[in-house]
Amino acid sequence: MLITTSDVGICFSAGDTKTWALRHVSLSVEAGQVIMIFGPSGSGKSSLLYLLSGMRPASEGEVRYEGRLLSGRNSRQVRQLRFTDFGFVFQQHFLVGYLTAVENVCAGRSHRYFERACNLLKELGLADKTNAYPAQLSYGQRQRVALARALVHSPKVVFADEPTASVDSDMSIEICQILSDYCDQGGSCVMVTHDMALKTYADVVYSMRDGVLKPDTVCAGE
Amino acid sequence: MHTTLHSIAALPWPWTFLLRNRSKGVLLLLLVMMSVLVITAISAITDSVMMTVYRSSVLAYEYASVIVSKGIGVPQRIIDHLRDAESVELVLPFLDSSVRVVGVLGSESRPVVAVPAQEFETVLSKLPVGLKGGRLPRQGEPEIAIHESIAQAKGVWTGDLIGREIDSDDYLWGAFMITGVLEGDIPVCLASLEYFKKQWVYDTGDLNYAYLVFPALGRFEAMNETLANLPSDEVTITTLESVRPSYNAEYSNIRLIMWAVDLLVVVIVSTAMGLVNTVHYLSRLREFALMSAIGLTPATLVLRTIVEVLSLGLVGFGAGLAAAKVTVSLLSACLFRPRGIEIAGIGWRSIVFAIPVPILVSVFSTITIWFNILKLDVVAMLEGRDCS
Repeated sequence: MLITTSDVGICFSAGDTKTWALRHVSLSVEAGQVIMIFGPSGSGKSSLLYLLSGMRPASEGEVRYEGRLLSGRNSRQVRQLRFTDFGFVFQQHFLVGYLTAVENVCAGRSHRYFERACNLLKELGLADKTNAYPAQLSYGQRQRVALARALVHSPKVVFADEPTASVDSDMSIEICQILSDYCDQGGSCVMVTHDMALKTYADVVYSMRDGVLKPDTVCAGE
Repeated sequence: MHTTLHSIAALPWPWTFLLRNRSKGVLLLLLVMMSVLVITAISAITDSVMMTVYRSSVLAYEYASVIVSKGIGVPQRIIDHLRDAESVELVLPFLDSSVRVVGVLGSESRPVVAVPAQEFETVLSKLPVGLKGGRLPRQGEPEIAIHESIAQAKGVWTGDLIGREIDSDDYLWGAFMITGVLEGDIPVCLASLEYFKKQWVYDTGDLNYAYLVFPALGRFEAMNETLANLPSDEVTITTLESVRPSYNAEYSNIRLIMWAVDLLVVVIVSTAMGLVNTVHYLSRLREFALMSAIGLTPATLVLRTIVEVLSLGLVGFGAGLAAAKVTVSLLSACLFRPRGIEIAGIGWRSIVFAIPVPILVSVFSTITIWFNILKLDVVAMLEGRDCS
């Protein structure tokens, strides 16, 4: 198991009022799996990704990565995991405006990733856009650059937060296919979305509502 | 530490933002450059003006001391005593006057020294002054050799006349024909003592009212000790030790003003840079949040910021020094040289005054960004919520 959680929850406090964004969430992520989590907006899907990737601490329960508690690592070790083992596709592309596409893919990393970044952009149909700035790219192209950024360092787990939210159906399928191919090569992916049409790319499916995660027994394993 | 240092070299380069956002980069650069320019230029000009004052009022006393009678003339026994002293090489009678020039600090006086005509060459050999052109005055004639800086300041040259008859501001009475131009570190004029004595109000007979006293080689201090032992009720002694304190007092006030100006400019510029950097940082908040989400540590982000700001500071510093050099040269040619003031250029002292600018700007900017990074909530930022 790469990632396991047991009874984790995230609670936000405002004065005496406590609001649970996640509660009693248990799941596991294995190498090679594509896990999809469906649910309406505000159901806690993004919070779950932030929890799994160590960007948010759990208020209760525990998250383990490769058998070791995330909470047992210091913030530097968790950051190191995010730098080497995790990749993240955010809901918005979050590209740096003054960097070219290929520089955005390599953001925070050394020049030795440059060639792989170019190859990834080529695979994603952006071979002629490597030196384009985000403002010169369409929304779908920016999202593909963000996807390349999440994959450039060959992470063990890719977290994707509604990566197909603002792209057309063809592009959605293309993005899912790329993530699926990546997992076939040994990576793992945890993706949240509310596009039910993408279920076919999932190995495991969960549904989420009001911070509670439930296995989607109907679709899982299809 | 290794990882942090390695990450500093990661893409994007710390100065990529400034290079690709030229309007912001140039604005920040100009801010640093202008402050370095102002501080360096003011410091260089002040130094040169003060050096001019030093040369005209103090420097001569590094080569000779002066005794002046408190009566009608210096008693011969005192002169004989000095001529016998081992520490004294030469005792020359002299009288003095002055001419006025318009300097940066307003009307300033420049000394006119009258010595026996046969001693002109001796005096010139003992002072850092030489004849640049023309000839020295003749004995007993209303003639004068003036320093080139005085000639430039007064707009006169060989063959012209100077003196109170020509310029009522001059203390030098009558009219003197300029026969030669002097060059060297001391802005002085030379005239014939014989002519001066003929014009002198008092008849001193065989006695002389004042003397220049030159030391034997390497005996300057010993000579001044000898002078200090002369009867104070008969003569007044003026030495380097007696003129320097008043100059230093005046100079220290100017240095104090310079430090105050320096501090003020540095504080204003650093505050402005801090504010600009806060806005600059806020406009790049998502970039920092993204880097943090990717896994870069706060230490790395701060170090990258330091490199970026320090690069800006150093380039601004260099550009400021270059601009100051050009500005000082232009001011020197257009404003100071016509007034007989040589601007020495940008010296180490001027550079030292400007060094706090890039350092404080870097420190202040880094602290601003460090503070913001420490309170940065990456998830809130990435979700587009209030990130404070």
